[in-house]
Amino acid sequence: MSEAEENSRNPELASVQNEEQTRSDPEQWVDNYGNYLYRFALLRIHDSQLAEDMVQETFLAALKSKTGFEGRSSERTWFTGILKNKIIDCYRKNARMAGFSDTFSAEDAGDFFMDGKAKGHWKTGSAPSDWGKNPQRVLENKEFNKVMELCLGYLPRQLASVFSAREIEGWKSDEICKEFSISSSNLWVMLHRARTQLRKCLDVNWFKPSPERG
Amino acid sequence: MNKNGIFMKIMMPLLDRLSPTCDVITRKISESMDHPISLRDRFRIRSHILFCAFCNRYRRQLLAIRNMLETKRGRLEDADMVDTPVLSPDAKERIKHSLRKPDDN
Repeated sequence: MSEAEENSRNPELASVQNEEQTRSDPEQWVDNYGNYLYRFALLRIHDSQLAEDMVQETFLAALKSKTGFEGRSSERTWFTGILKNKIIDCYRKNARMAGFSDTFSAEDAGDFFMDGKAKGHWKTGSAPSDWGKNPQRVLENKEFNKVMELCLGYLPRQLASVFSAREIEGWKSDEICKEFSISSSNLWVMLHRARTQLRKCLDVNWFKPSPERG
Repeated sequence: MNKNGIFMKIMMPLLDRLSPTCDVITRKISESMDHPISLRDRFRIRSHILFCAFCNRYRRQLLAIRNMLETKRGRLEDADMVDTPVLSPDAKERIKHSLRKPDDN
């Protein structure tokens, strides 16, 4: 009788062996799931060093975990869950940082005329340029993805955290307010600032026709 | 106060309320992506972007960015896509090393 057949007759033994298998070689985790987890983290926090550290902390937490991976889900799902919790802790810390002002100050108004006849209207240099009919196409361009990564990285941490929770995790406004203990009006102001800065960064560094790019 | 002054003081805020300027409209556009906005605000945005090409672009570009991020999230599964950052060999080695001596961390 082969080992597999033996195991199928004794599910308890099989599950013990399975668990030992997943616990046996943590170094293999790095090769199997390291890149996926790194990309998962990088998309959400835009800091390669921090993303690396989080992957490492995830594996260490898994190693020390008493319950371990019990075959409830795939191994990757288990790691992803641990990593996600770490990322959300990081969001929460950033979102509650002091120093946020709820008023629309000069930084928001920078794109618009502050006074005169055209008060409140787009300044010529800041007005959105034409992104073409199908802007999604640029995602096929490696260089664009780099620019996007940089632009996301330029966002102040506080804005980046609420923006990621909204646009990457896909949380609803009230979920974010509850999770991060912020008011909805604060949240909307932060999201608006994040979108405005990101849009402008992509516009200036990619879409806007410039003499150098021709 | 001359006639002009009175006009500015009374009429201008009223006109601004009826037809908000681009700075207000862009804020409302962003807000509309996070929660249902009032019918009046929806109408203000609609009527404004009929005539304002810039705010219309702003709105379409915010939606494009949302779609781009959604696409990028979906691509995590796909290791062959153009956008695939990976752990450097050094980083992998460092992490493996830390797993050999978990108590040092």
